[in-house]
Amino acid sequence: MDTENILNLYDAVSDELKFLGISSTRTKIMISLNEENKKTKNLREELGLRSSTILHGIKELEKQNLVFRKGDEYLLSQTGKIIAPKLIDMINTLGVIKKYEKLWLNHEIKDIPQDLILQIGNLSNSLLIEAEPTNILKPHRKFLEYLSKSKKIRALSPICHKDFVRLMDIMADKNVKIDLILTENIIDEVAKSMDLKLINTAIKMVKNNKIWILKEDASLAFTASDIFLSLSLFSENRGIDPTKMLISTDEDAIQWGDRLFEHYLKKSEKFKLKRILKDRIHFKSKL
Amino acid sequence: METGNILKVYDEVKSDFKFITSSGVRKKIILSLNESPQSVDDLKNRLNIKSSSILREIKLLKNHNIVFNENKHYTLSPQGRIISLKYESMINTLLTIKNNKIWLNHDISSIPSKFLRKIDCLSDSFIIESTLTNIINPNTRYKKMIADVSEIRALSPIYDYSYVELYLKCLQNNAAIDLLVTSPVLEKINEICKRKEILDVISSFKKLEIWKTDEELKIAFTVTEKFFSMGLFLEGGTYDPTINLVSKNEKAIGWGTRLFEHYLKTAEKII
Repeated sequence: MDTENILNLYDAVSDELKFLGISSTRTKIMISLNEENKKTKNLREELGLRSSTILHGIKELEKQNLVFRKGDEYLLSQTGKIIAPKLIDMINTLGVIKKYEKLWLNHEIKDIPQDLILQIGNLSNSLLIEAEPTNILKPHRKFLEYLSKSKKIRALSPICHKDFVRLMDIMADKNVKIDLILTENIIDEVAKSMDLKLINTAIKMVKNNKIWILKEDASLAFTASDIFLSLSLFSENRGIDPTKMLISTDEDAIQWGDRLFEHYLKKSEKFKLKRILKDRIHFKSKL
Repeated sequence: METGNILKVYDEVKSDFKFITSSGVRKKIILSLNESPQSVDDLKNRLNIKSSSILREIKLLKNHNIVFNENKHYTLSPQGRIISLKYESMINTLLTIKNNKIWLNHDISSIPSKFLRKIDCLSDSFIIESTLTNIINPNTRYKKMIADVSEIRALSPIYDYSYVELYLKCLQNNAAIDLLVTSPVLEKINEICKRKEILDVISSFKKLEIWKTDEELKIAFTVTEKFFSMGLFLEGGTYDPTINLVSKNEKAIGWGTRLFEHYLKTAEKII
């Protein structure tokens, strides 16, 4: 949508938007009624507000047709039922922005598709693992720890790390189901490394698992396994920031990761073994 | 998430929430910068707001890590980008509601919550209502719109013989029709199919598929490659034929298609 358009649209609802944001009493009442219908007494106890404050808020919400009264209970109107989840979603989003501020600040999010940005509230129950002066590989270690416990792994990685490859190799032997999306340059690097052990591992992985090649660049790395989600972002123009990783074992977060994986799967093609073999023969003849 | 938790998160972000919703200028700057980085002059011209107000707000936005500058151009931070996308979705939701009084006193319980959360897809839609001189205006307009489409997916808990005639005509015009109906409507269809002239059309065009759902539907809608049209029940439980929500926007058509597929999952194929 172009900006002129959204600004005009904004003007049409600016009062409503302001109305929703400005009073915390009203916001809290909406949040609470979204759960179920409530009496003044319930609202008072839950929100820790005085009856007069609550009744005043309710009166204003009634004027806007967001809430109405039935007997001695208050309930959300049809429009209230549409708006309340949106408000909650906005609050969760702000929570995620604030809680993991260091993950976002000066990092790249352009490769997270818009519909998943809109659902970033799904990540509210996560941990931001940061490198520490005495444990500079902390994010990486935590990641390997979760990875080794997974039974099903779906991951995208624009970087190649030997630990990761080795672990994947072990996992493949343990019959863990692995779907891996890699970028073009990783394959080139593996092939050019002339490290036959690495190449052999790669060949084994291609044989036993599903490897996909992403047809474009990606400025993020993530894993959506059966037990956790991990997310790392590029710090501006400097590649993946290894000092910060978001990890979550929450179901909503894992689902979010699954959708992110599906998104990238559509932009990838299956990797053909021929390519690595061809490169290997090429290098062998060179040797 | 539990209400207690949400209230806790709200208390933590209350000041941020107020910060981003209270000032119109702030919101406009965020929405503008979502498109491209801009200088103060760009913003001044575009928004028609004094430089001093813009500068004041920019400073606050910078303090909140929502905006940063490269040379003289201001850009949204990742946080700012997330907030601006959320705004757009909120604005479109509010517009959907404001423009269309259909939401006010109609039963929306048949729309699953994950679809309600994306109701901003319907922001670019309009209402067709009965008028004093044409009390079946929604129906008249529906018939006109459906005359020249080639893919029809319709879900309906209501039946009227005029729709049978209409859909038969569509079939004859080579349209493909997927019909998802409730048991009572299916019975009516079975009855009408005993008539030879109707059965003949259905069997010669072969582009009709019918599904049955056991769910109690409080919504009737049609989605085609060109439009989405929806009618709802009044809160008392009767279908309201006097009002239809219609959209020709791609997003609304996508929303309707997904809603149809949602109901299809639990439906049983009849033909």
